[in-house]
Amino acid sequence: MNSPQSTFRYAEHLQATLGWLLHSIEAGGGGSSAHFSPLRGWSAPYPETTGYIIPTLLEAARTQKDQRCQEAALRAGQWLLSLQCPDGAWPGGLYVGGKPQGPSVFNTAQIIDGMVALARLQPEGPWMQASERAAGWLAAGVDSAGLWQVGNYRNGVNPSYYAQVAWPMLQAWQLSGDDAVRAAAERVLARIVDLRTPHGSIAGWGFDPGKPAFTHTIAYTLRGLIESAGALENWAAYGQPCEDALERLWRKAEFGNGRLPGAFHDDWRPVNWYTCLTGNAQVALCLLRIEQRANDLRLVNAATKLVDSVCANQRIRGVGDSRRGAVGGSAPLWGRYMFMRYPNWAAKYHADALMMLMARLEEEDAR
Amino acid sequence: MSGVLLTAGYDRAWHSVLIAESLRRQGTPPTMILIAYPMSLGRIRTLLRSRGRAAILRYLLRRNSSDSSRPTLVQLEANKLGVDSPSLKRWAGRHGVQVVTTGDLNAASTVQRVAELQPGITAYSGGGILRRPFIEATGHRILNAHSGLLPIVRGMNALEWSLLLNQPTGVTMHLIDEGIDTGAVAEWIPVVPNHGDTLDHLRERLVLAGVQGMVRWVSRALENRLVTAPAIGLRQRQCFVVAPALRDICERRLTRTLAG
Repeated sequence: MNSPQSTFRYAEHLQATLGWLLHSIEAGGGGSSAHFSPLRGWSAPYPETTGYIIPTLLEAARTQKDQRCQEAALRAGQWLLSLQCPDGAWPGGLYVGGKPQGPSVFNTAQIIDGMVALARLQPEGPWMQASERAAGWLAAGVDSAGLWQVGNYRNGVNPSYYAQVAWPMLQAWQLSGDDAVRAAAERVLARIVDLRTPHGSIAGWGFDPGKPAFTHTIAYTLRGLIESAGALENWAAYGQPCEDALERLWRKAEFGNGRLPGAFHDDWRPVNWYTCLTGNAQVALCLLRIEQRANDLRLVNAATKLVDSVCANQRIRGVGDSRRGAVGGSAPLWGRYMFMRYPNWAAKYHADALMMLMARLEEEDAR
Repeated sequence: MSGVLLTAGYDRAWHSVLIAESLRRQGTPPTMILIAYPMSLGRIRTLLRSRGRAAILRYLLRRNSSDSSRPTLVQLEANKLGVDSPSLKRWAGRHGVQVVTTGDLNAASTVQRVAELQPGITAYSGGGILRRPFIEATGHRILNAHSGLLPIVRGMNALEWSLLLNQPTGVTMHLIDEGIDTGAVAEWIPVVPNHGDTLDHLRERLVLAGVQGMVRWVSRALENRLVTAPAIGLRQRQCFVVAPALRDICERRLTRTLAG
């Protein structure tokens, strides 16, 4: 049986996106350059996002039979190992040689995501130990209220998108069986779930308290909770609290034909003059993940439109290597999120969404 | 309360004019036809947002392609009844039926006219989503022919969604309430795909079945024999315009179903 026509179109976008990610790792000298700017070129590499790009590359290597992706993932992993602090943490910010920054809760967790993926590929490699040390550092820093006092992006602020920290901790726990890590992750999750508002949003899920949250960090929060619910096999505690928000985003994605407002206030008032492309791709992933549980193609429909909207803003022909396959932070590019830049995490989430969507469409077509 | 109010989303709509003519032939012509013009800014904005520019362009191109010159099943049926134009205004002029055009069925002035008319039954054949004041003005007696099984397939592109969700194809006759296809159900009319059906052809068969169902149920309503029951089963998520990738799968599924 032939594949549906749409699969070929998505495959073209996926190849271009993966090509751009590989290019970003070349530009970053092993770590993935954080972003490309038409004005300033490639940035320094970014340990945090290099970490979570690794599972994307490994999945691409598996599904697209592209050995270059696995080689790049291993190279990125080695680069990250060289940056790990003696206490197990990874530093925050971009990597600029000779200027080490302090340890970062969020970055460390995203790098665990990559280490765990590599450990599953090479159980005898150094990855599992690196992941255990990092998860141990994270667990040791969580207090009884589920808060970190050290390693926050803003001093004293523990945003709700730390659900995306709990998830990698739980991945590490699944490999190591270290129950202290699991318990710490559960304290973090419990605190975040308690912040659910009567509108179904979760307070503090943006970068700045009191300001509208980009769909990027909204999706971090929701995905972290969804995946944690799966890891802990406890949908009622961590998945259900997301359902209202996901239903709203699903409807908004449909009404906007795949274009979500770039940010939302806690009461869902939109900031609509731009869209956050990485947020769109991440919300598509959230919808596809809950669809695996709900088995409802109506969720896939919205995810498809979200992915289509990102594809529509992606150039895959007629531009140079630095732009081909790149995904802008915002559309228009001068939108508030990652103004005039093409971040590597937008490409990462777009690639993830394309792969998950293609697999789901092929499964549906085969029925 | 007496008489029939017919709503339409356009002046030139074969299915609406076929309903009007069929009602006339059974002795209960519409008392008034309400046409909601599609060219209000609000409707254009809604269409652009929900369907996207590309989908609208594709629709317009298809409309202007050679295939669009082929008469639809509904048009052929109307022709059989001696109707040679899809224009409701022309039909109404010929038969002395009042036509009211409006930018929005829910506008206060339109609702006022409906309340004054006090229709015995309202046959909905288009005009956008109806709000509470309009529904109340009709006495909560608005019939709709929905091209999918309710409550499972509610919303847009019901035929495509029926195939995608592995539901039987057909038409549900139901009353409109404030929700999207959530009103009480009068009848389920199955329309089984035939060998050689394409999506477009099957859709035409559904529209024709809906017209026939509408005429039958208007008649029953006027005889006080309108019996409905709440839709049975869990209300599902609303269906929206099918994304191109899923439409692709839908067409392949229909082809395989008919081949197998």
